[in-house]
Amino acid sequence: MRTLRHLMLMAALSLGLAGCYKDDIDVAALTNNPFDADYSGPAIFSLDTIYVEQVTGPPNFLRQVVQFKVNASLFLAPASYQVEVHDLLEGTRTLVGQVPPGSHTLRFYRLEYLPGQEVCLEMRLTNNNAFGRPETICGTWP
Amino acid sequence: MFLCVHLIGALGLLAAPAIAQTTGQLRLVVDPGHDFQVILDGTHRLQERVLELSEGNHRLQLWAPTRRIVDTTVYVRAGSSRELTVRLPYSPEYLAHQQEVKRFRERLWLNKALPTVATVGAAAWTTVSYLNYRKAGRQLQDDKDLYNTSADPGAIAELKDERLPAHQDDFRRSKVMLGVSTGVFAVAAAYTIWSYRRADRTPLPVFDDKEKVRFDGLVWLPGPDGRGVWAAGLTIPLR
Repeated sequence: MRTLRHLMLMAALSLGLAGCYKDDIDVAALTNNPFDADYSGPAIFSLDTIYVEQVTGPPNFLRQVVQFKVNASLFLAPASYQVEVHDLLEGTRTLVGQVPPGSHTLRFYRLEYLPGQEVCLEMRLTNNNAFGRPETICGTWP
Repeated sequence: MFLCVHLIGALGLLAAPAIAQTTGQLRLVVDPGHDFQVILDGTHRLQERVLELSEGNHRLQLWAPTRRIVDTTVYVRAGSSRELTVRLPYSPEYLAHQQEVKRFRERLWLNKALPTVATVGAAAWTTVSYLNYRKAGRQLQDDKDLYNTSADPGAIAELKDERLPAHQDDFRRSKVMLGVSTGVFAVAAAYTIWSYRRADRTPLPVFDDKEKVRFDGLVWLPGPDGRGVWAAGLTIPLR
């Protein structure tokens, strides 16, 4: 009887320990955060529209606007961010912020007016001078 | 048998006061005082403290359980009273038995104490290992939560390149340690249970009082025809 009691105690202890089992983490599988440079999920950026707008001055001038969207539904938690836009044609890099804050529709302005030309922009989410996975969106200037 | 001895004593000795001038009184002061026995002149086995004896030399053989037989001769003067003080020494068998019992108890204590200490130690080790394992597991979970909530690509890169691998190493080490300590604890606990059961089943050393056997063999009862009878005792330990 005592042996049985001891065995039951051991079994309960084993079950208790088994219940406290912790899982290891597969680091290679952690690729679902859009701010991760190794992000492997769906595209974060999508081209919304490209248009030309008149800026009233003085001086008055025209500028080209690439309006794109950030798919914030992919974020694992609400976050503010900037987007680095690399103009592959010009070679310039520009940080674009959320205007207004909380908005996920961003605009990249280009002063050089190149009508009818295809332009590709490489975009990355950024915070604190560090960058996520680059994605390229292309469009044609009006 | 003792009744017979007493009757003989009563007939042979206690009748003596009737002849007042020819007997003397001998008072026995014996250590141990509660259960000693005496064989008087090789024939009468008594448990009296005061003896009325005829004048002359009398042989007294005194014994008590666990003690040696002390054999002495006393001269009793008629009409006088004297005291005989005797300390019965412990028998060598009893001293050896005491040593054996002591060794037995020490062995028993060790047989229980060592596995118990080992089990308690293993349990403490297992507890500490489990706490470390839980802490390492929680750290990994915190890292995962940080990954899921972070919007800082630099922090994410540092997490994945440095902190997570280090924490994973900690976690795997603590997991191995928990497995080893749990195994040691299980073995120690099983061994402790077995030790207790074995110790409980081991019988205590039994004392064989050889002096009693010798003492029992010392009584010779003279018969009316002059041949007599040896009286012997038989001890059956009842459990």
